[in-house]
Amino acid sequence: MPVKIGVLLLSGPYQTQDVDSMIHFVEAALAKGHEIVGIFLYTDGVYNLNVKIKAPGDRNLAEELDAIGTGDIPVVGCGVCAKFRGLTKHDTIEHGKLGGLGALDGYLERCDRFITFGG
Amino acid sequence: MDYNVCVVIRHPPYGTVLPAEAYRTIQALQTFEREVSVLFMADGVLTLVDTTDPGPIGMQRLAEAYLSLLALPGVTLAVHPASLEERGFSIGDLVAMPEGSEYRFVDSEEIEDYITDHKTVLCF
Repeated sequence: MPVKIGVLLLSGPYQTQDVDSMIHFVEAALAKGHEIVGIFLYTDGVYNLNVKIKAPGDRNLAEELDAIGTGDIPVVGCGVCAKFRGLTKHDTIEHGKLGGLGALDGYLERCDRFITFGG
Repeated sequence: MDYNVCVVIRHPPYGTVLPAEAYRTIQALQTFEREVSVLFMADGVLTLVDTTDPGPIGMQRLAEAYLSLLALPGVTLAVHPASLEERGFSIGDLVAMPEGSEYRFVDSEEIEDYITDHKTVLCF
């Protein structure tokens, strides 16, 4: 039976496996027919929205996140966290955006299950 | 209150930003009138130890911030006593609650049921 899943990511890219695990989890959940109600990027997680990420010879986590966002899955980073880290809306991937904790609340309300990566 | 959420704080109060960001998240959820249970366990219990003083490192005490959440309805502060004891503290070392409020103590046998009793769980 399909379930609605909300996701919270607390880690930045290329420091731990958290981001990869989150992406693989989302891809696997979608492949199984589940719904991802949204991905909220909090604290250092907002760095994954950075469109300027270059990863020569390696996977580009921002591009992978962007690809997830093309599938009508909201990808929202905490605007305050971004401000504290010098990230603006002009720096974000095409299918990601900055927003408030209201987005997180919405995911919590709509989901059947919620999972946190990182922290 | 359309849903309840358990916010689990398991990191120490000042080594990372996580317990402070958890506090900010809870504030936001209170704005939406959600029912929030904050469960302090593992190193997270140090957040509420009365003698914790982050003044020398230029930080504000998070304990008062968490207690201030009790001024609005819908928030419960729960503590895993075994986590305190493993770190050389007891429930008597916790910062005093405001009059009319009290901690919810959740022992190891109860903690699974306590967490799963909530619609969603946020871990910090």
